Formats: sequence, C-alpha cells, structure tokens
Amino acid sequence: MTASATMKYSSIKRAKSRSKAIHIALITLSCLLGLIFAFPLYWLLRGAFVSHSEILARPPVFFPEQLNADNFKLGLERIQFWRQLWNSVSIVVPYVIGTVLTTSFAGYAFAKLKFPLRGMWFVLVISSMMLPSAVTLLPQFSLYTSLGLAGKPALIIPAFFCAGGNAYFVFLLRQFFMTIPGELSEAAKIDGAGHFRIYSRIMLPLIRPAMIVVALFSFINCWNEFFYTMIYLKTEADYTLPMGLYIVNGMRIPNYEQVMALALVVTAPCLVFFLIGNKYFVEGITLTGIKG
Amino acid sequence: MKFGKRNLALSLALTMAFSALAGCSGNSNNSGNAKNAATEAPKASEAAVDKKDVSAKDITLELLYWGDDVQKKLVEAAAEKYTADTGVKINAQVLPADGTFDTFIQTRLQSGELPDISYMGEGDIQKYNEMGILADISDLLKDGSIPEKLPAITIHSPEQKVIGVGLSNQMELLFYSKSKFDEAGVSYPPTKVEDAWDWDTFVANAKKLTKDSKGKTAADAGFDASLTENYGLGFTAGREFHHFWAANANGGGIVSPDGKEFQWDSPKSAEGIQKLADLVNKDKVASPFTYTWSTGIGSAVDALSGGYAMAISGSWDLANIKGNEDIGIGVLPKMEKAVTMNAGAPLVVYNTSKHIEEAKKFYAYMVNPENSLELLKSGAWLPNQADWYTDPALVDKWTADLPESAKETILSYSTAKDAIVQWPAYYVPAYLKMNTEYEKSIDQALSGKKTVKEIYDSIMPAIKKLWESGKVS
Amino acid sequence: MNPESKTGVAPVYVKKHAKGATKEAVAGYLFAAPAIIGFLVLTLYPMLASLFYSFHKITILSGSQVMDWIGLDNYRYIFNNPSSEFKKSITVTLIYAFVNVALVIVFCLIVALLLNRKFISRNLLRAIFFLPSVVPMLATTIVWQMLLQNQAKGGLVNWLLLQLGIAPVEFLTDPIRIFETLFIMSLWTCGGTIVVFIATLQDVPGELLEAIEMDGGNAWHKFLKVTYPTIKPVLFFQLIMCMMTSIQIYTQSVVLSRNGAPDRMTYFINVMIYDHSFVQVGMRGLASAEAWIVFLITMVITGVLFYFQGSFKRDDSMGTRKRVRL
Repeated sequence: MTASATMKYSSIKRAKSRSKAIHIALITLSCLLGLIFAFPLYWLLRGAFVSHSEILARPPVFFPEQLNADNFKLGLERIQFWRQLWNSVSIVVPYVIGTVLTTSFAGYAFAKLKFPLRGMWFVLVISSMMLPSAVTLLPQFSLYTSLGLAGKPALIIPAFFCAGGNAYFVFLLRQFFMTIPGELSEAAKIDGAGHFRIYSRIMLPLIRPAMIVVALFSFINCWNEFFYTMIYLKTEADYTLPMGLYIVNGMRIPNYEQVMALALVVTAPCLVFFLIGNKYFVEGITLTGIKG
Repeated sequence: MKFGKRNLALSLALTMAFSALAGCSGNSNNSGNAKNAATEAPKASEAAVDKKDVSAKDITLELLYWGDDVQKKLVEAAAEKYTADTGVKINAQVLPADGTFDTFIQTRLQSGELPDISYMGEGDIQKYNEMGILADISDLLKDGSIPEKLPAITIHSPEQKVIGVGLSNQMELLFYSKSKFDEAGVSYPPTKVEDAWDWDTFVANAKKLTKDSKGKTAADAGFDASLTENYGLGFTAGREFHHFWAANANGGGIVSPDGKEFQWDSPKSAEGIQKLADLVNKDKVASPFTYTWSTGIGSAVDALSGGYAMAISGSWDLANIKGNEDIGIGVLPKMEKAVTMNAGAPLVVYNTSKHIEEAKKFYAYMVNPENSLELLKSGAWLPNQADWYTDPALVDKWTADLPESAKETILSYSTAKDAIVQWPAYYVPAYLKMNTEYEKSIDQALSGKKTVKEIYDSIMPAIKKLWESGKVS
Repeated sequence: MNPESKTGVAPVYVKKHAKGATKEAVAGYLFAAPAIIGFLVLTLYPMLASLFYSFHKITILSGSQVMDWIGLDNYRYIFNNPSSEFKKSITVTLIYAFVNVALVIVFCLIVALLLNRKFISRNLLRAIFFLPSVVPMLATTIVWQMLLQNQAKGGLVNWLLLQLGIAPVEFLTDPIRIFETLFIMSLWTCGGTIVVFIATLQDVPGELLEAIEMDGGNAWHKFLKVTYPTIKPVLFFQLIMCMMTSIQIYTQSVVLSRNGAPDRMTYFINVMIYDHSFVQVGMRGLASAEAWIVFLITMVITGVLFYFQGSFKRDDSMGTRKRVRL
C-alpha cells in the first residue's frame, strides 16, 4: 500500500484531506442516527423508573427526580414471574439446542454430502420459510391438539425439525459449510473417518462462529415469540415472559410504567447474550463469510 | 486488525459499563421479588397440606378470569375462603382482559380442556351458548341460591334459559376535572338524571374547556383547532359502549329491549352517532378516536390530569380516583333522552364440567356481592343486585369511599325510570357478527371522511340481515 | 470455486468407492432427516390439510367441531361477497410489505456502510442499532405509542411539535399516518439485517476498492463496481426474508388497535386470519381459504423476485447439476 501511495503523492494528499472531511461528516451522521435510535431505548428505560403520574405528564419528565423501583415490584407481582421465567427458560433451552443441532445437520448434508434428490429437498426445505405462517396455522393446531401436544411441546417441536422459520438457519449454515474446502473431509475420509465423525470433529469446530450466531438468533426469536405462544399456552401457569408482559399490558387500565419495567426485565437476557455474542456477530461471521 | 482489536476492547468496556447499569437495576428488583416469593412459598404449601386434610371429596374446580392486580388478589382471596369453607379446591387462572380471552376459550374448547367456570366477554356469551357449551343456571335463580340480580345483567339464551349473570354492573359516567372547570368558569356537570345538560349546553361548555396553545378557547374567535393543547372532552374508547349510548340517547337504539325491533338503522340512531363524530370534526372539542379500545384516552383519571377536562368512561374507572379530590362525576348529557349504557361481564358455568353441581354452588358464591366487597368499595365494580342500590344499609356498604358526586350520580341513574339502557349483546344472538360488520366501516364516519348517514346507508341492510338470522354463526 | 473443485474430484472418487457413495447417500438422508421430516409433517401436511379445510364450513356444535363440505363457497365469498375483507386486507398488507422492504433494505444498507467505516465507538453504535431488535415487539409498540400519540395524552413528539408552534400530527388515528408509524417502528427494529449486512461487507475485497480509488473512481463507483456485486446475494436473500416477515406483520397491529383501526387499514392478513380462526365462529374454513390465496400470492411474488435475480438461482441449479453428474 505504501509503495503505491508514493507514486502520486501530492494528488493523493489532496484527495485524502477531502475524503477525511467526508469521513468525519459521515461519522457525525452515524452518531446522529445512533442518537435517534438510542432515544426510544432511553424512553423505555425512563418509563420503567418513573411513577404513574410522570410517565405521560406534560411537560414530559425527561429525567425522573428519583428512580422508582415500584414498577418492577408491581409488574413482577402481577404475573407469576418465577414460574413464567422458568417456562420461558424451559422452552428456550431445548429450542436453541434443537435448532443448532438439526439446522447444522441439515446444513452439512445439503452442503457436503451427495445423496439423491438433494437439490429438490433443499429447495423444498428452504421454501418453507417463504410460506406465510397463516397457511399452516389451523392444521398444525389441530395436529398438535389431536396428539395431545398443544402446549409447550408445540412450541419446542418445530426446532427439532428445522420448521417454524428455522429453514433460514439451514440456508445460512449451508453457506458456511460450502466455504470449507472439500480436501479437509476427503483427507479424513481416506483415514477411515465416518460422516458423523467428519461432521463433529472437523466441520463443527470450523463453523463454530456461525453456530453461535444461529444460537443467538434462535434464542432471541424463541424468547420473544408471541403469536404461537398465544395460541398454544392455555393458562397463566404455562405462560412465558412475553405473555406475562402482555397480561400486564392487557388491562383496560393502562399502566405503561409497569409494562416498561417488565419489558426491561424480559429484554435483559437477550441483551446479555447479545453482548456476549457481539464479537461473533460482527467479527465471527467475517471469519468465514456468508456467500450466496 | 490492530485497530479492530482496540475498538473491540473499547466497545467491550462500554458495553460492560452498560450491562453493569442494567444488571444493577435488574438485580435490586429481582432480589426484592425473590424475598416475596420466598415468604409466600411456605404459606402456599402449608395451605395446600391443610386443604388435603379437610377435603374429603377432593374436587378441584378451574376458574378462568381476567383482572388487574387488585382483582387478582381479590379473586384469589375469595377462592381461598371458599376452599376453607367447603373443601372444594379452586384453581384460579388469570388472563388478559381483551380479545385474547376469546382465543383461550376456543383453543381450550378444541383440546377438550374447558374450565368449569369462567368470566365471559359481554359480546361473546351468545356465541358460546350457540356452540352448546354453557350450562343453564335457571335453577340457581329459581331455588333462591342466587337472589334476584339486576334484570339488565341477567342474561338469557334465545330459549329464555338463564346462562349467566353479571359479576358486576357497570355504567357509563361523565368524569371531570374540577380545577379545569373552575379555571374556565364553567359550573360542574349535574349529578341528577333530571338535571342533565342538554346537548347544546354540553357542547358550549366543552368549547369553553378546549384551548389551543396560544390560550384561546374553542368558544373564542381566532381559536386555532390545529394547535389544540387541551381538549374539552375525551372518550375512553370509541367502541360500542359509547356508540350505543349515543344512539339510545338520541331516541334511537340498536335492538329494542324485547329483542323484536331493529332500531340501529333508524335516522335517530345515525344522528346520535353523528353527534359523537361532530365533537371531533365539527365542534373540535374532542381528540380523534377510532372504533377501538386503544385510541381512546385510556384511564379517565389519567386523561383528566393530562389534556382533557371531561372524560366519558365506564364506572370501572372510579377505581382509579383513589382519593384524587380534583375528580368529579356527573350524569351524561342528554340528546333527546338522559340515559346511560350498562355493561358487566358475566360469569358462566360450562356444561362440560365434571362437577357441575359443585361448580354451580361456587358460581352462586362468586356472584354474591358480599364476596366482592373490596371491588365494590373501590368503585371497580358496582353491585349486581337491585337491593344494593335501594336498601340504605347495603348502599352504605359500598359507597362510603366513593366521591359524593359519584354516589349521587350512580344512585340517580339506578333509581330514575328507564335511565339505564341494556347492552344489546346480552339478548341479541347475532350481536357479534353485527358488531363486526359495523366495525368494518364506521371509522370513516368517525374521522369525518363520510357522514354517519352515508355509512349507515351502505352497511345497515347487511347488519339488519344478520340480526334477522337470529343466529351467532 | 469450491463446488467446482469438488465436482472435479468426485467422479474419480465415486468410481473407486461405489460403496462409499451409497454410504454417503444414507448418511446424507440421515443428516437431512429432521429437515425433510419437518417439511413433510409440519409444512406439507398442514398445507394440504389447509386446502382441504378451505372447502368446508367449520362450526362448533355441542362443543365439538363439525365440518360441512361446501365446495368453493369460501372462495366465492372472498371474491364476491361485499362483506369479505380479504381484498382490502391483502391490499394494505402488500402495500405495507413492498414499501417496508424497500425502506428497510435501503436504510439497513446505508447504516451498514456507515458503520463499516473505521472509527472509535463504532461497536457501541452497532450495539445501539441492534438493541431495538431484541426488545419484545409489544414493548416496542408501546414505546412508540407513547412517543407518537396525541399530545393531550402525553405523546412526546406531538408535544414538542406543539411547543414549536407546529400543528401536531395524528400518527395513530389517521388511516394514512398509521403507516408512517408502522414504518418507523419497522426501521427501528431492523438491527438484525444491519448486522448481517455489516458482516457481509467484510467480504468486500479491499484491494479492488483501492484499485478503483487509484483510477480516480468515487464512492459511488466503488459501491457499484465492487461492493454491490459482492453483497448482492445476501442483499437478495435478506430482501426475500424481509418480504416474508413484512407480509406476516401481526403484533404491531394487534397492540395498536386489535381490530385494524383506523378504518381497517392495519387489518393485515395475519390479523384477519387469526381473527377468523380463533375469535369469530364458523369461519375456520374461510380462514383456510384466505390463507391459501395468500400462499399463492406470496409464491408469485417470490417467483418474480427470483426471476429478476439470477445469482441465487444459479447457486441452486449448480447443486442440481452436481447431482446429475453423480
């Protein structure tokens, strides 16, 4: 880079100072956009700590004088918080495990193994993500109901069959597997390794960053799931946290401050996971790259 | 690469600071809750052990209801007391108070897991009756285990079986902010039905109470409606409650109380609704609203402390006053008639219940106003029994904590002749479909895009046909 | 690239190890089994069942479901009956979806390009843009409701406008403005797409960018000649995904109004089908018919999108060719 730069030094210098100005302008723009994006987040945060009379007051209370933790107390008392936290966790853990396992199986098969009708099955599986959920809603509901699985299982099962939008991850992981050079597995094959061994010993470590991204996305999806939860969970004792949030909001008397407080509590795990996984989101994906 | 790492370190530091902040708040409240849970858990398990010893029958009834935290505690307390008295266990499950309640009943119906008893939306009871899952409770009224309830909230099937009675009575009231009235120099709304403001007085007063950001009221010259800062009036919701009131107040109606005459398409009904829409679009005294719960003003009390001087809302909003001296209650203005609208979600027994006799006994217990005294006192519910409005001893039981103006208004409505109109959902089987059809187009009239008459001309023939079918589905 | 190299090796390999090929086929099916079974049981079966339902009137009598064959009546109702809201619903849904996809893709791309520059606090900004997408939609909607509602109810934006002497805007009750509200919320929650774009931008070859700079090309040239071709497949993929999620918009509408207010402008397809399936009675057959028409429409839309975009398709056909050669 330095070698080529010396060639047209002066003109480049001029161009550089101009591009530096543009650079600074663009950074300022990004920061401004960032501020705009951050404001509703702040408003959510503020909403969780103000009192009922302050939340919609005119003129608005931008900085509550005292931080009020009552909203958390009231919001959490209103729902069976620990019970619902457990429900959420007991759904999300198998869901994420199922997703990571089966989507990586399928991604591996579609990328690296040759079997008859592979192309057809791949297109069919992928096409399921282009299907509006409304089409399968009623029959799925009847199916689960007749099998006695209409409840928590109905929310977990799709994860073990790459269904419920998980085809997206199959596609994503297939792209990652494709970037792994074929020579690696060929060598292992010659050493007598079976396909599962190749998958678990050679492939998995290589696509770990992508798996973490899949795990994170599926965690967030499942944690915030609302549509199916509303249909399949039938008592408050079975509810997940987003449904608890919905209960607190669902009164005829709005109590937004409690909703905001509870929303913070519900969002917190996603936040933590994002912060842990941030590295993989940005740096991790780039290691291998998604290519179409 | 080096640059990236430094950036990463920096962002990690920042995000850690951020998460520490979030973590602190989360922790403090979590631990608070943990304590509660810890103290509550042993109690619950002790109670469970007790129950096992007492109850020989080992019957558990499932109750599905909705409610806020106050109601939840109350229902749980009532259920616990019932268990202590009878040994029948109650599994009380609370749900959100909106359309989703319906979904739960339907999905549970399909999976054969209906509860024994549940609350029910006013608009839905005829629907479930037609599905054939509601028990006939006429016998409870006949043998006196349930004393006679207000006729307005005693719900009959088309075959005249009693299929539910309201847990509470609710009526539409006018809430106002005393300070805003004082400031504008307007006298407070009356509390007696016979004194109700006529419509012109009401609109004139609302104009005096509507102000733009330059301080001009809607009654002044030079008022700029586009810069309205404070409105004279708000509705909690633009839904059926208020629409049906306006239709009836203007001398029209929806369906006659005997269920035999369709009145919704009468010119007087349309004119009544037009008056509501005009408040927004012509008189400019109310903020825009649509035919839904959420675009209303929310809690009347919140609205009055915000940008509204008057609010038309249900009596359940009395519970939010909580000693706020600024809030007064009055009767609704009259158009042609001085009336209010009634509501009150019923409780039902499902005929799929395995313990239907026990369920009915519990039912009688639940609809007894004595067992919901706390809710009555707060104003969230009004009593569902006629004698609670006339017998002075009983009246004192629940009105002591209510504002004087609220007490006067409610008693005036319940003693004046024909001042309370019954919600047609209770006695019109096709109500739900009729309302859905109405809901499809009425927003265009509320926004002033079309007149109510234009909308009515186009939708009422279809709605009338639905009414004539006399069926839910 | 590497599929080519693999296909180059494969024929030789296959000849030598015919048994290995069967073994591989078995292994392939085993690995893909969850996805294939999932497709058959949780997608194909419900689709066909839904088609079957759509020819019935489904009611509940004495607590159990009754199905009556009524042929094409549900479809006739959808297209001919003035009470049917299908046309309006699909129209508002598609308008929302198309505008939303355009907005989201362009916006996310711009933000991703901005955040791809190297500067201090860049990762903090990335986090800020991503965070809104993990907030439950319910809370998101309520926050924006608090910001955008009438100032008399405490709406912040309108209060600020009023302070500046500007007429407040009815974001939530005006049948057109409500879309602005929905778009704003959609842009606010599109962090996932931004992250994917940023990741993709890492693949843009820096040497090529520099080469164009040397030739005196400006930023637009760089984008058009290098960046765009590199990210095109991902861009297209995200476009399809965004289209699908936009067509299925649900929570926002339900939290804002529950019944599609104002004037049924937010009575989106999923809201309507849910309503007909689990709220109204006797309309489950109709709901299935509606769902099927929506399915056919989305098939047409994705078909058209694929037609206008070559590379994704080429990738699939490559997979097919490989299979044939085997």
